[in-house]
Amino acid sequence: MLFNSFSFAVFLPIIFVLHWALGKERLKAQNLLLLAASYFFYACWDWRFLFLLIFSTLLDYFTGLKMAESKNSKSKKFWFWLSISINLGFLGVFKYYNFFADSFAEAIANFGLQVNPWTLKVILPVGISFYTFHGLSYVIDIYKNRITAEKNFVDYSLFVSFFPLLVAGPIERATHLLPQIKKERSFDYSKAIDGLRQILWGLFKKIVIADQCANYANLIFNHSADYSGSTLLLGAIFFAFQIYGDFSGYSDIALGTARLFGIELLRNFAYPYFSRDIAEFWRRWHISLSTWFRDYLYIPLGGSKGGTWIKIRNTFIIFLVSGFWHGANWTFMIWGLLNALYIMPSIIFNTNRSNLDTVAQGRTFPSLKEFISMILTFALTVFAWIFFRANSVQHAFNILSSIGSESFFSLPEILPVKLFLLMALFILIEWKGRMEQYAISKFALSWPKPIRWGIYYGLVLAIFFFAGAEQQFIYFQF
Amino acid sequence: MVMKKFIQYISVFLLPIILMGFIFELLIRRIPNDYEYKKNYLDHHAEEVNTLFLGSSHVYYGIDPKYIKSSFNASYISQSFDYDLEILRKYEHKWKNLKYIVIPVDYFSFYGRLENSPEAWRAKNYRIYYDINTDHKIFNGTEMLSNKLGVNLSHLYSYYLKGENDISCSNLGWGWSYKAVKHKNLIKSGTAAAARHTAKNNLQYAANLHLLDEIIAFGEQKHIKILLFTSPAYKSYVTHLSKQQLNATLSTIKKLNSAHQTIKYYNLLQDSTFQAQDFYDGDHLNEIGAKKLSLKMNVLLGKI
Repeated sequence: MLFNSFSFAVFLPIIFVLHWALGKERLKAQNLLLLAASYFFYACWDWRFLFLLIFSTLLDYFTGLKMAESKNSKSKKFWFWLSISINLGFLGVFKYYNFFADSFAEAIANFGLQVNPWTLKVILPVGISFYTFHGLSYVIDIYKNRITAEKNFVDYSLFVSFFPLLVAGPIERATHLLPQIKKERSFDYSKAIDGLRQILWGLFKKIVIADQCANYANLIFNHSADYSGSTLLLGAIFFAFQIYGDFSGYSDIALGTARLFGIELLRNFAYPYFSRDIAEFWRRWHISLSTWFRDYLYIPLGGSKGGTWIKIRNTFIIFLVSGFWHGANWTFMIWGLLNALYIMPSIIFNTNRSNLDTVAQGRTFPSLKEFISMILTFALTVFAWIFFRANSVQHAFNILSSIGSESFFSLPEILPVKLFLLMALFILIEWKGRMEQYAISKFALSWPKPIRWGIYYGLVLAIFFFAGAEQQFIYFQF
Repeated sequence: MVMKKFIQYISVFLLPIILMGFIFELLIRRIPNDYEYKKNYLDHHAEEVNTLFLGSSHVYYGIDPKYIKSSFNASYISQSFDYDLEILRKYEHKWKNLKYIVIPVDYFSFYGRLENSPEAWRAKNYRIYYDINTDHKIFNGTEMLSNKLGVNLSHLYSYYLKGENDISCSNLGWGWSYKAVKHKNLIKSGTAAAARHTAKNNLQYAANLHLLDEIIAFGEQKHIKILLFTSPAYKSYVTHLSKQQLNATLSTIKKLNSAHQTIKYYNLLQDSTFQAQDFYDGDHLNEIGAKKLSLKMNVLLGKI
C-alpha cells in the first residue's frame, strides 16, 4: 500500500477514527490497533515478509530482555552479538548475497578462472534496511546501558513497525519514539491540521515534482547514448529533484501521518539543496540515517577524538558504509566515496561546522557568496547523483564523458518548459519556508481563510492533475 | 468536541473535491466508448455471432469482421487471456450460433496480463463498461482515479464541448484508427515493441497457459472450434525477439495443437503475404494489412 494510493486514502481515515474513538484512557488498545494496522499495511506488499518482520522484532525484543537480565558481561555480550549477527545476516542474505557472489565471480574471472556463482532468486523485503536499523539501534542502546529493555511486546513491536515509518523511515531511536508510544496521547486539533498540511505538501513533492522529473530523468538515463552532454546534465538535475521530491515527500507524508496519531517522528530533511557546503548538506539530507551512522558507527570508531587521520579514516568508513547501505552496487559505493572526498577539506581544515544556521537567516535573499556556495554544493551533489542513478559504473562514466564532450555546449534536446516553471515555483516555496519544518508549515497562515484554502485547493488540483499510475517511492528499494 | 471540529473542518474542505469528482465521474461514464459499444453489441447480437475474434491489439487492428460472415471482433488493446475467457463466460448462454473462436497466441501472450502491463489502467474499463472484474481490487473501478485529471478534463472537453466521442472501432468491433497514411517508423517501432514484449521472467506463464486451457475446454464443451494463430509482424519486430521466449511459446502451442482435436493453429508471424506497406508499425497491421489478414482468416476458417 503506497502513501500515494487510493487504498491508503481509505486506510488512513479508518485507522485515525478508530484510534481516537478508543479514547486516551485505552492506550494499550490504541497501540494494539496501530500495530495491527501496521502489520496489515506491510502485508499489503507481500504478506510472506510479515513473518520476517515479526521474527526480527521478536529477536531484538528477546535479546534485549536477555541482555537486561544478564548478570555478567559475558552473557550480555553473547545476546548482543547474537542479535547483531542475525540482523546483519538477514540483511546480508536478502540484500547483499548476490552482489558478493557476482563480484567474487568477476574477480576470479580476472585470473582466467570461470565460476558460475550460485545466486539466490530472492526479492528484497520492503523496508528491511530500515526496520533492521531500528532493531540494531535498540540492542546497541541496551548494550551500552543508554536505555532499559522494553518489557511490553506490543509497545516494542509498534516502535519497530509503526506504519508511517515502516518501509522507508525516518529511522527512529527507542529513546525518542518509545516514550511517545508509552505515554497517553490526546487529540490535538492544531497538530492534526498541521499533519494534514504536511501530508498535502509531501504528496505535492512526490506526485507533482518527483514523478514529473522522473519521466525525463528516466528517459534520459535509460537512453543516455542518444543524448547530448547538455541533455545528460539536465537529466542529472532532473534526477536530483526527483530523488529529493520523492524521499523528502515520503518523509513529509510519514511525519504528517504520525502527527495525526499524536506521535512526532524524527525530522529527515531540512532543505538540503540550500546548503552552503557538503558538511551542511549531510546535516540536512536523510538526517535520521546520517545521525544513525554518526552515533552507532562514527563515534564508536573514535569519531573526531583521535586526530586528523582518524577523522579522515572514520569519515571514509561511514560514507562507504552509507553508500553500501543504499544497495549492492558499486555505483552506490562510488557515490559514498565521492561524498567522503567532498567533505574532506572541511574535515582537514576543521570547517565542517561553519554553516550550522540556515542560509540567509532573517533575510529575503542570500548574499552573492552564499548563492555561489549553494550552487557549487548543488553541482557537486548532482555530479555524485549521476553515479547513484546510473545502472553501472561504466554507464556513469559514459554519461560523464558525454557531459565533458563538445555536445555539452549544444542546446539540450529536451526542454520541458512547464516542468521548469513547476520546479522554479517549488524552489521559491521551499526557499520562503526554509526556516520551518516543512515549506508550507506557516505559509499563508495569517492570510484570509478563502485565500489559504484556495492555495490548498490549488495543491490538491495539481496533485490530481499530475497523478497517474501509482509510482513507487525510490527509497522502498533500499 | 475538538475531534468533532476537526472532522467538520476536513469534511467542509473535502466536500467540493468529492462532489466535483463525483460529477466528473458521472459525466465521463456517459461518454460513448469502445468497451461500452462492444458490450452493448454482444448484449443484443451474441446469439447471431458465428465467429468471434478475441485477443489484443494485433486482432483489434488486424481483423475486420466485415470480410467474414456473421463475425464480431471482441478483442481490444492489451486484452489478455483472462479477459477473453471472461467475455466467453459472460455470454455463455447466448452463444447459440457460435462455431469458431479465433484467438491470437503471440510472442507475449503467455508472459503477461493486462493488469501488469503499462496499459493496466484499461482494466477499469472492463469493470465499468463490461461488468467484468478479474482483478477484484476494490479501488480499481473509477474513471477519476484511474486517469490523470488532465486526461479526464480533455475527454470531457472533447465530448461535451466539441461533440467528439471515444469510439474508435467499426460497428463490428474492428479498430480503424491505424491508417496506412499515418504509419510509424517500422524499424524503430518494431525494435521497441520487441523489447517491450520480451518478458523479464516467466512467472505468469503457467497461469496464462491454464487460462488458454480453460478457453479450449470451454470450446470443447460447447462444440466450438478454436483457431489459434500468431499474428504477422514486420521483420524489425521478428528479428529482435528473444529466441528462447518465442520457441517456448511455439512449442507450447504445438503441444496444445496435438493434444486437442478442436483447435487448429497457424503461425503467420513471418507470413510473406504481409509486406512493409501492410503495417502501421512494427507489430500492427494498417487497414490494408487488416483486409489481407481478414480475407486470409476467412479462408483458414473454411479449412477447419
